[in-house]
Amino acid sequence: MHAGKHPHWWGDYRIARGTTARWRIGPLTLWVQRLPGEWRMATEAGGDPLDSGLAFEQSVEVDDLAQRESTRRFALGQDSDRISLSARLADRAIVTRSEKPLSVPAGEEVQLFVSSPVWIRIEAGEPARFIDEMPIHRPSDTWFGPNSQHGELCYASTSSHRLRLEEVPIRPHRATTSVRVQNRAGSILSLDRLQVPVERLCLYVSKDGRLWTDDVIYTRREEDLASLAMRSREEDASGLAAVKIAEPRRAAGGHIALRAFSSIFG
Amino acid sequence: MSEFLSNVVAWLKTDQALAIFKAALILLAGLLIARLISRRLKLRRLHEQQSMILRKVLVSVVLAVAVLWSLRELGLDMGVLLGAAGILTVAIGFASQTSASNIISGIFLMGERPFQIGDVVQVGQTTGYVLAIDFLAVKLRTFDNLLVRIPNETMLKSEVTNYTRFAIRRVDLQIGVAYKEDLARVREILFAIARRDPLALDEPSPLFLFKGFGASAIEIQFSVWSAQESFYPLRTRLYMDIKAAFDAEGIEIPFPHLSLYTGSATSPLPVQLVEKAEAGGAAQSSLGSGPLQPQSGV
Repeated sequence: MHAGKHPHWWGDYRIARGTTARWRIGPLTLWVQRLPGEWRMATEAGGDPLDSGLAFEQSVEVDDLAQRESTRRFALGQDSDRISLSARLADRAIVTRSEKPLSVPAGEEVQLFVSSPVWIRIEAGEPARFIDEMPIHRPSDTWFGPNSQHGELCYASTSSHRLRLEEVPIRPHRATTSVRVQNRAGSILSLDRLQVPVERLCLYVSKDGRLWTDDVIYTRREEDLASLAMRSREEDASGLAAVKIAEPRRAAGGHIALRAFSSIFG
Repeated sequence: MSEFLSNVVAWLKTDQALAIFKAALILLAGLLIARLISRRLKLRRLHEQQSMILRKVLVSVVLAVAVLWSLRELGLDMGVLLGAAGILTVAIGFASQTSASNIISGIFLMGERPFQIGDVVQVGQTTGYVLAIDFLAVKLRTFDNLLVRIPNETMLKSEVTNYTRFAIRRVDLQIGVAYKEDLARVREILFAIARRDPLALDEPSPLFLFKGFGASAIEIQFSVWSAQESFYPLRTRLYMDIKAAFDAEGIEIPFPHLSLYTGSATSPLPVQLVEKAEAGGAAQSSLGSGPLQPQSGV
């Protein structure tokens, strides 16, 4: 996307003093202005969340950047022209919903594809200093738990459970997660809502430009217990192997976790 | 001068000086240990307020032991002192029933833990952040930055609402719409507003409750869940969005109406129109040359 290096929005950029660069990443427009000893940044996030557009302009004319409500200023002592954008997964788990509940009979397993929003992390200067982080499209908050007293604050994903990868479009601001659900219990599992702990997953990019997370495997063993495992996408044998671009926000706390059934499946 | 110094040296060699030195040393050691406990003791398994109470109790015990030990080194009879202290305690106990009640109430509050330091609670008409939970009283900082001290006994007897105990809260919006409005359309607009706002929780879903036929409007309650820290921003934003959406969609939010009847439900209220006064006449009236004529009358 920049200097003809690669077609992604993340990476290092050079901004000349006194100029303003503009990125359009899906529904988000980001302006970054470099001034002596200061960086200014403004965003506009009201675009169409389904927009897959990607554009970068090295130098744009902006008159009113300082007047915008979203403008923030950052003071950096070292006068460097470097700014770095990187992709991160959400800072909370994502809850996905099925349009219609999907039933998995006892002994069966299913592979689902769900997508979740991506955040931008911005660093500037030499040495690189973190200046800001924001979602490209802010998802809605949601509560995941058996009642209003016990549960976890999560983000609601607008994507539903897709059985075929082709149904999940490649978007620069959404990462795809492959979720394998194994029903080893003696009764039918009705998948209405599913919690995906994206804050514990790594982020990857595959050759076709799709953002991926670690694979997630849920195994339902008994009526009230389910185990959760994560598998790196770098080791994928199906030809969709990907390169890691971000570490998880939170340590996974062991690769496999045994959790209450209700804490994974709504 | 040399005689004074030799007297001092001689006194320093006596048993009395040694006893004073030992007592001072014990007192100093006690103070140091108490200071160390007060500053450093923090048990991870305990809540902040429990740690604070434990610190205060340990500091009091250490200081009491140090003082008693020092006095013993100085040759005071502890039996007599403790006996006197016992009598004094009974006397003080009778005189300070309120304090004793507050202390016991404080112990119950600490055991029950209905709130912690930093929570937002309402006690009677007072709402604020809990600053401290002490032996005698709970201290609150109100939103307008006032310190309110509420005795523990009052806390135990009163209804206390903790606004920050649970991670999510419900925003209940009271809305009135005109009788002519289509409620299905109103419901659709309200749900769309909640869907658009990222701070409004997707789950639990918003609630649309028909409350009744009010004096001037159809009364509705629209309830939306939010994260506890987003409660006030979301409530304000939702009311503003609803006002804007109703204005845009032409949905009337009625103000109180008053209908007048003349005693019979079927007869209309008689209205009598009086001719408008001429412009010249009005000017004449304003000059005070004649009485003012009403433009219309009932």
